[in-house]
Parts: sequence; structure tokens; C-alpha cells
Amino acid sequence: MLQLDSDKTMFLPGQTTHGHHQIEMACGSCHTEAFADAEVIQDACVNCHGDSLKAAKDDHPRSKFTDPRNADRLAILDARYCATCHIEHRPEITAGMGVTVPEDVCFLCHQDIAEDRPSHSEMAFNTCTAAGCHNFHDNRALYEDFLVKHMDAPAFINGKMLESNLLSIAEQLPEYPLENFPIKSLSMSDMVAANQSTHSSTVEQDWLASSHAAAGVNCLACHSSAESEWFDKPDHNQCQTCHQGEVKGFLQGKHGMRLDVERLNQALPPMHVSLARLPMKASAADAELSCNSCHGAHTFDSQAAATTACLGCHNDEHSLAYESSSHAELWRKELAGELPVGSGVSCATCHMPRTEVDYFWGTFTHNEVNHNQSETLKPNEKMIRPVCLECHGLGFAIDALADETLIKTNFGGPPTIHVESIDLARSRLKEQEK
Amino acid sequence: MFAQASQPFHEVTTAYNVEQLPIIIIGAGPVGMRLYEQLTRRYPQQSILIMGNENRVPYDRVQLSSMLAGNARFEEISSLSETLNSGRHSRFVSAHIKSIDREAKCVVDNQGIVYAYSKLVLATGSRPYVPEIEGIDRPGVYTFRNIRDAEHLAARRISSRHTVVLGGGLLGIEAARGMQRHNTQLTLVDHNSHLMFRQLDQKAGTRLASELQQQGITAVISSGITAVHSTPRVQSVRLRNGELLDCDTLIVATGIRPNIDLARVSGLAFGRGVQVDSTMRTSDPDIFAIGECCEYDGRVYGVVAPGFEQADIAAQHLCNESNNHYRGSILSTSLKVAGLAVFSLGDADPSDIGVRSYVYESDAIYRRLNILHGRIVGIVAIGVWPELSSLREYARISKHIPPWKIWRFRQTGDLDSIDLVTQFQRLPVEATICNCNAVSKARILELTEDGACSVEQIGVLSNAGTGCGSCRPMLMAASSNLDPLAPQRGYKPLFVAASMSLLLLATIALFYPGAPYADTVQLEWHWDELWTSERNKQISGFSLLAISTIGLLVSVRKRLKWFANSHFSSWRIGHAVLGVAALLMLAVHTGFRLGNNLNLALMSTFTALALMGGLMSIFIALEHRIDPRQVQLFRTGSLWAHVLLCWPIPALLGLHILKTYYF
Repeated sequence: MLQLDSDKTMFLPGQTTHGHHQIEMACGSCHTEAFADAEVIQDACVNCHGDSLKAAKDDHPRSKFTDPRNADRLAILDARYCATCHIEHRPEITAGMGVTVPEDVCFLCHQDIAEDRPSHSEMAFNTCTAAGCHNFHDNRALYEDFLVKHMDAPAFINGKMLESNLLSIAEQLPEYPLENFPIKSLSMSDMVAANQSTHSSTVEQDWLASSHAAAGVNCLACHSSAESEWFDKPDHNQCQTCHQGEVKGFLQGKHGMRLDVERLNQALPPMHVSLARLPMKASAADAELSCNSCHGAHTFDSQAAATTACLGCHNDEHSLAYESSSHAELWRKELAGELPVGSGVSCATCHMPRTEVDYFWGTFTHNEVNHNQSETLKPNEKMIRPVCLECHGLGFAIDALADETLIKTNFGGPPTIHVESIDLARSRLKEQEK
Repeated sequence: MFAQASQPFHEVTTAYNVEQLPIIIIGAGPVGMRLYEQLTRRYPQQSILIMGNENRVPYDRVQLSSMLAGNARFEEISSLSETLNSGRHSRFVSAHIKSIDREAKCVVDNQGIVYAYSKLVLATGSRPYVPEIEGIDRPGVYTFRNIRDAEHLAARRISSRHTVVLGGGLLGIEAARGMQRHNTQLTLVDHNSHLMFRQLDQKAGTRLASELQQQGITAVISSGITAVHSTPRVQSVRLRNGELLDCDTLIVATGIRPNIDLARVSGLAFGRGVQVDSTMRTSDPDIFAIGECCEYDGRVYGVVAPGFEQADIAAQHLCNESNNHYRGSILSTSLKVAGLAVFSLGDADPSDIGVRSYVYESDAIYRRLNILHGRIVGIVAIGVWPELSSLREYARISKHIPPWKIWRFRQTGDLDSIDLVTQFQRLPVEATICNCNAVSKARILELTEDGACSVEQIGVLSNAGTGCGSCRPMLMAASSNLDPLAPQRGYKPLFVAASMSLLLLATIALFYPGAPYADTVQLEWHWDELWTSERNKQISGFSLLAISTIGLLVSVRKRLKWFANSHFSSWRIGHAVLGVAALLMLAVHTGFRLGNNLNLALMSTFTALALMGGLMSIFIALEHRIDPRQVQLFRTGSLWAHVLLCWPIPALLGLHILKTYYF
């Protein structure tokens, strides 16, 4: 009954949170040991979420609470453990981001905040995180100095997103198989030599038009292993050879988390659109999620993957409103060649942005597309620094992201609400200058 | 009020129209007499003439077979004369009516005497149907219809050595039984596949035949008589298979034909019988027809009960008094063949779509219910069935029979729960009545024979019923003292505890899907930590386990002698109080949230267990106020549910604790 791969549905004490429901049948991914204590569960949390917390410069890291000076606070709220505020399987008390403590939980430690910040004296404790001013973990775009630094930025900046640089750094990537597939433009004759399977002419044309053909990636590159064994259907493990960072992100995000055998400790079938809790198109109910679901085998059209693929499944208000948004207008102009590359805003621009990733302590930088879609979401202020600020000022971005109606219309106009955080920072600055 | 009381009494007036001319009933058989009786009772002012053509005072034809068997004399079956003389304006006339003058509204008898009527009722009955068989008109061949037939047969009965009865229906069997005497050999010959073909199914018919065989009546089924040989008296009959059966008497009981000659010559509508509507009127609104001579909705009924129903309806309509209408009858027959009761109602072996048949069989009993859409449409019973009168009523009013009653019928042969006395009687003598003190039925019978006549006396003498008390209703039945039971010891605290547990359970429904959590941390006491802190959950969970375990001791009490000195009622109160405590702790542990999957299974089993316990305690505490039969039913039901619901709990709880620590 408790064996690794047996069905343990009967033990589920309640509906699993939106973050974990895809992997709820892999109990062992969180409950890594039988009869484990809180530390073991904590390790499991950190195993998946630790890196992003570290990257977010977590404001309430564990070290803060293991510090003896905070022993009194620890007695009130044992924040050493994620599960103190994020109890799993408790749908009746689960709020956004899997939080299971009341919204005014900040009160427990910060009830005397008004003494330090008189401007906060009239504020209710359930607005700390709800109003768009603070987050418990990630305040990279919200801390005071940052607000001050960007307080005068205009709403619109003529910015531009990064472009791919894979070809220029390929020889520095340790896994990239340059010896077998040197970077050069390939023709149909190269393909015929490499192919070991029957296929239609569409496949040939698609490949010939793809960036793979332009970069020396022939049939064997994807369809065979290092031992020259032919596969008909290569999976993410095969893509990983060249696109290591992207696959890593894919496995961390909601599209690929079920395939992360290493962290789940067991193999689950790929995510199925019908299992999603977000609204999805009925026509896509049968679709499974692999690299090829969005990238389309043989064409590997990154422009199609950036919006068309998303809208093929996602059916929520925000997604449906995209086509009529000003972001989409820019994207269409970019595709039409009216605007330079990188100035349009696709779904991926915000949810899977291209970011600079350091390799070997700054030896080189890869402009990688972060395929973990939650890296810029939940809370959405995580999107401000890597995405919004490329084209917008901080104040505008904070207001827009706090405006739920605006999010539903996919930023169909200017923000209608205003978050006071920059104003407060400004007035405090003035006071200090006096 | 006073004004009303001071008014003089109104003169008693008749609520019905008294006709100047008499109402004439032609036919003084049982149905005609029934109508006569009804009319004289309802409308004493109305003059009524009832006419019979048998040159005898009216008698009860149904009892002719008793008379034939020598169990009744004519005076006894013609006791109707009292009724005849009771009406001041009514009388019996022996006359043979030949014709009806509908224009002049009068009837004429064979002597030319004219009787004027206001309303006329035909109750002319029927005559035996005699099939055309070679030699059937010879001496020694009889029918069995009227008093003359009965007298002839009674005379024949003395000298007959072998009587053959043609026709294995109701009348044939009765005639055969009536003819039985000393060494008279009797053979029933019937062309159907079993006896009483219309009333019984194959199995019941076969059982009846073997019972008759034991009583000396041989049944030859699926056969017939092709010829009667006589010299000039009957010598033998030839059966359909060619066999010759020596006999000296042949009784033909092959059915009846309605007497409709009078109606036919008078131009009334007829089919097989005189056609009537639901008020029993024929095609002439002033002429009614009832009994075996009439045909309603295409059916002619050949037994007396529908005739009585028709007579009652006709009586009401004869004086324009009623809105009741005749809607046809469900035929029911009951026959007693010396010790063997045979009963049949409606369709015995229906082939209609949707009819389900349920059969209960034992050595002496065969019972079959035919049910269509939950309503009884047919009953066949061999052997005594005390419920029959209520079953007949269920069938008549088309009462819906719930599935559990059918289940009970299939298990026990009874549709309704039987009364305690019968239940006690049915138990074998070695059965244990009081489980707590191991007292058998034999011991209790000894005590009651020695004169113990109350539950208390039996208790004093044998300790029976002094434990949990669940056998007290049964002891009551044994002592045949049906006074209400004395209240259970300590029934008041038990009632209070049980009510509290039921109230607590009601809060589960009230708070569904569970108690709310706090939506703020700014509280003096963080009560929702009862359900969010693992430590608190463990404390409440194990407390609940401890309370439940202590509560289980109540079942140890019966098994350990060591506890026997303490009274069971104290244990029971203790158990109920622990039950309330357990429910309170359950609230602390779960907030009355039902949970999911395994937790849901555990929670629902536990609450159902508590509910059954609570209900049982209420029944026990109120035992002295409820009908003892109900007490027994409720107590046994809730006790069984309570005990059975206990069983899955250790497994569910074990898994619950295991998974809590495992994950």
C-alpha cells in the first residue's frame, strides 16, 4: 500500500495546492523518507524551491530565524520551516502562493512597525502583502533603495529584450557536441546522408527552414544518442544536449515538472492539458506537454512557440485578452518587420523571458530563455526586474501589476490603481534630507 | 350554544327518496340476499320484494359443501330468515319470473302474476356448465349448484364407493371433500396442468394435490373424460388417455354459465353476462344486475365476494345516494382443506411484463407474492399466513411495498415484522434469550409455567433481563404480560447523554463542511491552532483514541465475571458519557470537518457509529413509553448498526495514524 509506485490516493488528506497538484501522486518527491520529521520535509522544499529563493535574495531566510537574537520571534512563528506557513493538502485555508496562514500574519513580528515608520500607523496588517508593497520572500523590486533609485523613471522607456547568442557561445558550452555537429549551414544532401527513417517531404522542408539546419544540426543530432542509436521521437533529454539551461527551466516549471525524475524520485507521465486547473481550451484537452508541444517538431519556430503555442491551450481571461492588447500590437509589428527584433511583447516575453545567465563565474553569458514560467510569477512582482523594467518605469510597473482588472484585460490600458510605496519612499527621503 | 340546544329536535326525515312502488330483486342467492339486507338496513321505509325460484327459503349457497360433508344442517345455512322478516315493508316471494315489461315497469311470473317495480335488480346467478360428453345425461351424473343437488349428493354419498369429480377447480375440490366418507374413493379429473388452475401456480397446485392425496383424494391432472359408461347407472368413465376408471358417481364441476335468459328476452344488453356500468345499472337505467349473472368491463365473476361488493354499490345507487363506483374486484379465494389452508388473490402466475415474483418456501408453507411496480397484484399461499388479511388490504388499496419488506418476506416469509409473541414462539427452546446472563428459552418457559408473570419476576428468578435489558421486550412476550415495561435503571442520565451526543452530531450538519478557521492572527487565543498545529492534533487525536478505548470496556463487562457485581445500567451511562466526551474531542481534533479519502471514511464511520449509539440510548431511555414491539425493533436495529460500525474503525484508525506519521 505504501510502496513507491502504488496508488496512494486514499491517503490524500485534502486537495493539493495548485503548485503541487501535478505531482501529488509522486508522494515521495516531498515525503522523501517514511516517518520523517520536519527537517526532511524542509529539505524537500529547499530541493526544488531553494535556488529561486536564493536568487530572490529571500528577506526571511532560515538563517534569520536560527539566529539566537530572533529566538523570541521564532517562538511566535516557527519560520524555520516552509510548512509553518505553507501547509500542504489544506484547501480550506490555502490562499495565493500556497499560503495557509491568515493574511495579517506580519502582525506577529511587526506589530510595532508604526513606531519605526509613522506613515504605516493607519495601515491594516492584512494589506502589507496584499497592496503590492511587500512580499515575504522576494522584494527585489520593492525594497526602499530600489524604489528611490527608480522613483523618477517615466512610464514608457524605449527598451528591447535580449536576443539569442547560442551560436556565439556554443563552443564554450561543455555539453555542446561541436565535433559531430560543427556550426555551419546545412543543405538537403547533408540531411539525406544522416537520415535513417522514412518521412514526408514536409519534414524535410520544415527542417531546411529551421535554425537547426542553419546551425549544423542534422537529423542525427536529435534522433540519435551518443551511441548512435536512432530514436523516432526524441524527448527533452535529447534537447538538453544543446539547450541545457532551457530544459532545466522547463523541468522546474509547470509545463515539465512531472518529467523531473531526479527530483520526483519516480517517473510520472507527462502533464496532460486535461489535468490543468487553469481554464484550458477543450480542443487541446488531449495534448501532452513536451518540448515539441510548443516548439513543433522539425520547424522549431520560436515565434510560434512564443504566442501561438500558448494560446492553443490557455483559455483564461488574461490569455484571451492578449490579442487585443497593446503588447500584442507591438508583437505583430515586430513580426511584420515594422519594428526591430526584441521590441514586440509576446506571451513568452513576460512569462518566459530571455535573461542573461552567467556561466563559470562570469566567464561568458548565455542569453537563455527561462522555461520555468513561475520564475516571473506568484507573486507577480517577480516580473518587474527581469521583464517590465526593460520597457516601463518602476512606478508604472508596480501599479500595473497590482491592478487585477488590468491583468485580466492583459494590460489593455493604463493602471487604474496607485501603489503608494514610491511616494512613501520619496517623502521619507525628503524627511531624512531635512 | 344555548340557543341551539333549546331548539326542539327536528323530526327524523329520510335522506333518501322513498319509491312508491317496491324495488324487486330477482334471485335470492347470497348476493341477492346481501342486497336485500343492505337495502332494508339503509332504507327501512322502502318496500322491497325479493324473489327466489327454488321453493325454499333463501340459504347460503357457499356453505352447501359443509352441508354435504355433514358439518351443517339446512336450518343452519338458511339462518337468513331473520333478516327476511326484519323489514316492515319487505318480503320474500317464491316466484319464477318469466318476463319483464320494461315499458310498464313490471315483471310477470310463470303463473301470470304481475309485480310492478320502481327499480328492478337481477341477481339471477348462474347454472353449472355441463360439457357435452357421451353418456353425461345418465343417472349417477350430478352437478353441484343448489340445495337440491346437495341433497341428492348427500344421499348418494352414503352408497358411493368411488366418486369421480370432473373439474379440479374450487368447486370440484369442495365437492370432492364433501363426498368423502369412510371408504369412499375419490378421484378428481382436471384438464389443466395443476389443480385450481385459475387461483394457484404450478408449485402450489402440486402441493395441494399431494395434500389431497394424503387425505384420500386422487387428482388426475392434464386429463379429461371422453365418455361415461352406464348400465343405466354410471359404471365407469373413460379418461382422455383411454384408461377406464370404474366409478358409481360422477360430479360435474366444470364451471358456470350466467343466467341471462330473462335479460335476453327483455332486450337488455348482454355479453357473457348482463352488461352493467360502474353503478351496476344495465342498459335500462331502472334495471340493475349484480352477482354471477352480470358482466362488468368484460368480466364475469364466479365467486361470491365480488357479488357482495356489487350488491353494496347497487344498494347505494338504488336510492341515488352515492358517488361510489364499482371498479371491478380483485379475486381472492381461500379454501381450507382439513388443516391445509389455501389462499389465492389476483393473478397467481402472471406473465405480464414487469411483474416480479417472490417465493418463500418451507416444509409446510408455500408463499408467493407477485409484485408489479411495488404493488401486490397476486398472492398464492399454502399453509396458515396470519398476515393475509392485511396483505389483502394492501392489494386492495395498491399500497406500495418497500424493498426491505420484500427482503424480509424472502428471508422470513412475513412481509411485516411479526409480533413479539410469535417471534418468541418461533424460537427453538434451546435458544438463548438473555445473552448477558445466558438464560435459555427453555428456562424461561419453565419459569412462566411455574407462574412467573412479569419481566421483573423472571428477572428475580433467573437474572434474565437484568443485564443490558435488550431482551426485556422478549421476556414480556414470554410472560404474556403486555403492560408497558418498567423504566430502565438510570434512564434519565442516559437520555441526557444521548440527547447531547445527538445535538453534537447535529452541529456537524450545521457547520458543514466544518468549523471556520480564523482569518486573522490578531487573537488573544489562537483557537484555530487546534487544527493547524501538529502537536495539538496529536494531543486531541490520542485523547480521542483513549476515550474510545475506555468506552469499549462496556463490551468487556458482559464477558468478565469480575465486573458482574456492578449493574450494567451504570456501565451504559458511563459508555454514553464517554461517547459525548469522544464527540467533543472529535470536534477539537477535526473541527467537524469530514476530510477526504481515508480521513473521510474514518470520520463518517465514526459519526455514524456515534449516531447509532445515540439513537439506541434514546430508545433504551424511552423504552417504557414506546410500544414494546417497536422498542425491540429499534433496539435490535440500532444495536446491530452500532456494533457493525465498530468493526472497520480499528483498521481505518490504524491506517490513519500510520499515514499521519508515515508521510
